[in-house]
Formats: sequence, structure tokens, C-alpha cells
Amino acid sequence: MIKHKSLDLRYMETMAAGDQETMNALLTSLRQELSNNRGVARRLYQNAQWSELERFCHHFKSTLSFSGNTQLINANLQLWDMAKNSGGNTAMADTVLRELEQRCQAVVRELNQMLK
Amino acid sequence: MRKAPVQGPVRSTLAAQRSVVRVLLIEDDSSYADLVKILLSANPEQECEVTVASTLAEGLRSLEQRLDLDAVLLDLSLPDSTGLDTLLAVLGAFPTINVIVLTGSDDQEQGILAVGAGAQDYLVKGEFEPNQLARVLRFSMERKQILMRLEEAQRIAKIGNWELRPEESYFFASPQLYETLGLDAARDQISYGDLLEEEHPLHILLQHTQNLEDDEEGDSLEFVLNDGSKRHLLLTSKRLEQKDGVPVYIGTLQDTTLQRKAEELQRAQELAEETARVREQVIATVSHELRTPMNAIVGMSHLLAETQMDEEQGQYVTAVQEASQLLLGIINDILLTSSLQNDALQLEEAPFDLTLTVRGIIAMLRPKAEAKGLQLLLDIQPSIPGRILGDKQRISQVLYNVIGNAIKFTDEGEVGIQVTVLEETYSLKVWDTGPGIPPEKQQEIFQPFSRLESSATKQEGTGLGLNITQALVQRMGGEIGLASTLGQGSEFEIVLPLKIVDQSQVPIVPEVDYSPVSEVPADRILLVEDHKMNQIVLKQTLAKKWPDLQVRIASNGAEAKQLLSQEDFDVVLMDIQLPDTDGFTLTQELRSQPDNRNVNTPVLAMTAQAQVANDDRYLEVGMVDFVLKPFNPEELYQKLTQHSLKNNT
Repeated sequence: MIKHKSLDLRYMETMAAGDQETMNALLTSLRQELSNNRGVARRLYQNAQWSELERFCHHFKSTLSFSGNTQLINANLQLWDMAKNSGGNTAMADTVLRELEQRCQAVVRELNQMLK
Repeated sequence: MRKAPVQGPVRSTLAAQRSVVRVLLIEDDSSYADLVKILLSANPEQECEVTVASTLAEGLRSLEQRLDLDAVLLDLSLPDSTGLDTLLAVLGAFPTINVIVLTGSDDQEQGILAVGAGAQDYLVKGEFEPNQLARVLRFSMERKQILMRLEEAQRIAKIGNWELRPEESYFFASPQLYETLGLDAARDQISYGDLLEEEHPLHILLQHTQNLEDDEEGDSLEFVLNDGSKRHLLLTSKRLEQKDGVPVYIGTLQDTTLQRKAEELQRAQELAEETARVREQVIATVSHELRTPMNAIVGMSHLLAETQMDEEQGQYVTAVQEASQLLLGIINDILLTSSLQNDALQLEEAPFDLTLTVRGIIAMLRPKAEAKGLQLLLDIQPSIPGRILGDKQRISQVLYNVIGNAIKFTDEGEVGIQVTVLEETYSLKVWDTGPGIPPEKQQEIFQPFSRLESSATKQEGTGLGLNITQALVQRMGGEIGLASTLGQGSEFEIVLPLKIVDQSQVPIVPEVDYSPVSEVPADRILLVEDHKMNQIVLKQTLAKKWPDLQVRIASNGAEAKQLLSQEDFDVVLMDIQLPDTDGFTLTQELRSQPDNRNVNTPVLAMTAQAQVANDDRYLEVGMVDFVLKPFNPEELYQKLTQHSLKNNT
């Protein structure tokens, strides 16, 4: 079991079933997913594209499961609820979006360290 | 004030209904005959047509020729016959004729005797006027008619009447009574003296009348006729007292043989029905009480098998499991037989895929066939409708029984299954290269608890399989036939009514109940999943279990459609949320394309939403099952194995 500051890879290790090659593929894929989707959630929120934001959050839920970062997962879920409610409270949304972006960056930094 | 009586309808007399009364006068004295003719012509009530015969023989000839005579005026003293013999001769030949006897003035006694012997009345020559003659004629005709009706009624009801006057040594019995006793009224006349003899069959009348406790009684008797046949009789007796206190006894004797037989049959039938009901209740109750603990044995042995055991313990547990499964099967057979006999089995009628059903049964039984080195051949007519109506479970059971038997009793060669469609029926044929069934056993094997022993092995089971099979087929409106030749094999044919489903109305849901576990459940599966990381996990999870399994991946609906149209898949894992569509819509579109090579390929939903289990939508669109995310690998393996098309062909 590997524990990091931002990553909790217990779920990923379960899914990889002890296969290191799979583990590496998943870690690489996680880094790519987080990098590729940087800023997407904020853009969709600012453009009030609520159905697209809902789809994004649904997709991101699967991605963030592999990070094991509970605060990141919860932030995404909060954002998902806001999208279902056409944005919800704007101030709160800003807080959630910042939480999402910062924690994603932290996870990516750790992944970069692991995949060096 | 008293009400005036209401007059009912008045029946017209028989004489009044005749336009002409036809009379035969048998009288040898021609002058007297002329006188009678004059008297008859002066009949104030009726016109008479008179025919005269001067001898008995001539009179009998007239009677033969003239069936419409209303009365015979008969002189007892004729050249060719005298006295009562004359009357008896006429009545013997024509028992229903109405006879009025003409006697001499010094011979009235004979007239009275004549009435007792069957004449309707008598007239003393020279002592009657036209009115009197007319009245006697009319009364005799009416009385004769009444007596004839009474006799006919007795004949129909098989009831005769009798009269006994012990003080006068008199006994009378109606013709029907004689008939009931198998006697001839004319030939076997019974007198009072006959009754006194203890051996006489009607001596019982004397005993009955002497032992009357009430004025009227009835008794059932068993009577043996001269020809040895038995009759059940109902004897009734009634005591009447005349003015002088002398008792007279009257009664009836009725043949109740038919009623008694009907009652016995009714009782026997009720007893048989009650016995059958009790038997079935006992079987059902006992079987149910057996099945409950059996389920516990099966369940616990299954749990035990999943614990850690050494090899020896494992063998013991396996033996317990096999024996308990066998016993459970026997109990279920008995319960099903009971349901069929009690007419308690409800058949379903729902759309199902016959081809897949047959394939499923074959897949279940293939290991048994292969273990014996038998080839299992399948020939399904291409024109079999996609969906038909019927009770899939019972049809499966029928197929399982028949194909299972073929495999059980065939030691080498082949077992074949052929499915064909006829005009309004479809046929399921199962043939084998086994030893065949002797002709004398070919009906017997469908009887309950009938078992055919094979030469090599002792067969297990209740012997109810074919009996259940036949009963199920018949309940479904079909027939099962058998053709078999010793040393060559047997062929069972089941023909069932064909009820086609409107293919456009029903979503095609692949039905796969039977899942023998094979090494690789599929040749190729399609994974429709847009999330890259889920794709990696799934591929890796499947590769770990089945390295040779080919997995194609579609990241969106468009890619999935393309792959489904180009390649054959044994099963599809379908994510619900896709970038360009959703899994439900994609599946529904697939099912609506009969020409798509994967139209019948099983589709499993992949979803994180546990509530899919309670939502029939996935079934409505044509999916067969679901897998929850995050995946449980064992659940994924089990469901792929269960639903894969490869496992069911």
C-alpha cells in the first residue's frame, strides 16, 4: 500500500490487482486525465453550460476515484450538484472550483514524482 | 261465501274421439248376430261398423287383418272353442284387444270369470238394450285404454303390482311383475297355492305381509332369475281392511337393478376421487416437508464447500452435494407429478426465443455427452421464428428430460436434436444411436415410476421423467411420439402448437439461463466505455482471467455502432453514460436492426448507479443484466460466463 500526501492509491492498486504494468498505465492515464481537463470545469461553469458540466463531473468522478483524494472527490461531487441546479451559489462555486483546481495540481505533482 | 268450484278441462272419451267404432262380433248364431248388428246400429252414442265371424278361427283371422278394431264381442260357445278357452285364445293372440264376452242367461258365472281372465265386461244375451250395449262398449274401450296405459307405465318404470287375499286364496300380479321376475304372464301364471310353497320365489310375499309392523312397508331384495342373473328388487306391501275386517294386501315389486348399479358406480367414483385427493395431498405435504430440510442441506453443503478443506473432506462434501441434488430432483419430480395430476399446474404464455432455449439446454448437457464420448448434433431450421409464445420453463424441462434420457441410455455414437417448423406447429425431435426400446415397453415408459434398465448401468431417478414430459406436452396442447428399433436407436418427437409473436412489438431480449463454465467464456467481447482508466482496468481484469479473450474497445456510441456492424461479439459490456449518446439508446437501436450480426448478442450495462437493479429500463431496451462500478472482478467473471453467446451455442 502506497500513501502519499495527495494520492491514496488503494483503489488503484485494487483495480490493478497487483499488476505493476497496469499500475503504471493507470498512473500515467490519471496524470493525463487531470492535465487534459485542467480549467475545463471553470470554463463550463462560467459559460453556464450546465448539462455539459454535469457530463464532465460524471466523467471526472471515475477519474478522481483513482486518485483516492477524498477532498478532490467531494469537490467534484459538489460541483456536480451545482451543475444540476444551474450553477447554484456563485460564491460557493468559486470556492469549489478553486479547491478542485488546486488539489488536482497537487495530485499531478505527486504523479510526476512517481513517474519520473 | 263459498267459492264456486273451478271447472278444469274435461277430457273427451276415447269413444267420442272415434268417428266410427269398429266392432268384431264372433258369434256362430247368425240370427243372434243380426240382432246384435241391429242393436249396434241403433247405438245412440256412436256409429258402429260391425264385422261378423262365426268361428274362433275366423275371428282370429279377422283380428290379424284388422288392426283398427275397437272391441270384440265374443260368444264363448263357438263351434271350434268353448268356455274361457275361447277368451284365452283371443287374448293370448291379441293381448291388447278389448273383449266383451257374450254369455247365456244361465251362464253369468262364466261372464264373471271371463272378466277375471281379462275380458273388459260381459253381457247376457237377450238381456240388454241398445243403450246398455253402447254404454258397455264405451266403458270397455275406456277401461281398456286405461289398463293399457297403466301397463305401459309399469313397463317403463319396471314396477309391477300385486294383490293378495289370503282369506280367498287369491293372488293377482300384473304382467310387469312377471316380466320383472323373468317369467311369462300367460305361461307361468302364479296362484295363491304357489305362494304357499317355501321354494317359490314369491313365497316372500306371504312372509312380508305376515310380518308387516306398519300398514305399509318396503324392503330391498336380491332375486336370482332362472337364467342365473341377479336383480335388485324393491318390494312394497300395504294392508287394507275390508268392511268385514278381512285383510287384503296390495303392493308393488320394482326392478331397481339399474338404479343400484348407478349408485354403486357413483359411490365407487366418489371413493376413487377421494382416494386420489387424499393421496395427492399426502404426496404434496410429504414432498414439501422433505424439500425444506433438503434445501438446508444443499445450501449448507455449498457453504461448506467454500471453506478450507483437505482433499478427503472435499470429496465427502462433493458426494453430499451430488446426492442432495439428486434427492431434491426426485422430490421436485414427485411434486410436479402431483400438480399435474391435480390439474394444479399453471402454464405461462410469454414470448421467448426457441432457438436460444434449445441451445441453452444443449449447453447444459454437453459435458455429460462429452464425458461419454458422444457427439451432440443440433439441426435448427433457419425459418424458426425469432420469438414464439409459450411456457419456456416447461418446454426447457421437456427438452432436458428427453435429451438427458437420450444421453443417459446411449453408450456410443450420437444424440441429435432437430427443430423444425410446420404450418401451425413446431417439432422437436431427439434421436439417438442407443440400444432402442422394446416394443412392449414403448407405451409403458410413459407410465409413472417406469424405468428402463440399461445393460451396463443402474439408472438413477424416480422413473417419472417421461411421465412428466408427456403430461406437460399434453397440457401445452401438443403430442409426444416415439419410434424405436432395437439395436439401432430411438427417436422422440414432440409436436407443439406454434404461436408466433409480432416481432415488431417485443424487444428482442436474448435469454440465457444456462451457463456451464468453460475455460474462455467468449471469443470476442466489445467494451463500450469512454473513460480511459476504466478501459485499462477492464482489459487488465479480463486478461488476468482469460488471456486469450479478445477485447474490442469503443470510446463512444459511433465507434460502438461501427464495431457492432463489422465484427461478431459474444457479449457487450455497455457503459450507460457516453459522450455522444447513452447505453440504453445504443442497445435499443441495436435490437431494432434484425440484419445486424449482433442483434442477439447479450448486452450488460455497466453503471455506478445501484438503482438500476430496481429499474426495468435496462431490460426494456434489450439488455440482459448489469455490472456495478466499481467492478467486483468475480461478479464480472460470473456474469460474462453466464451471458456469453458462446456458452449458449
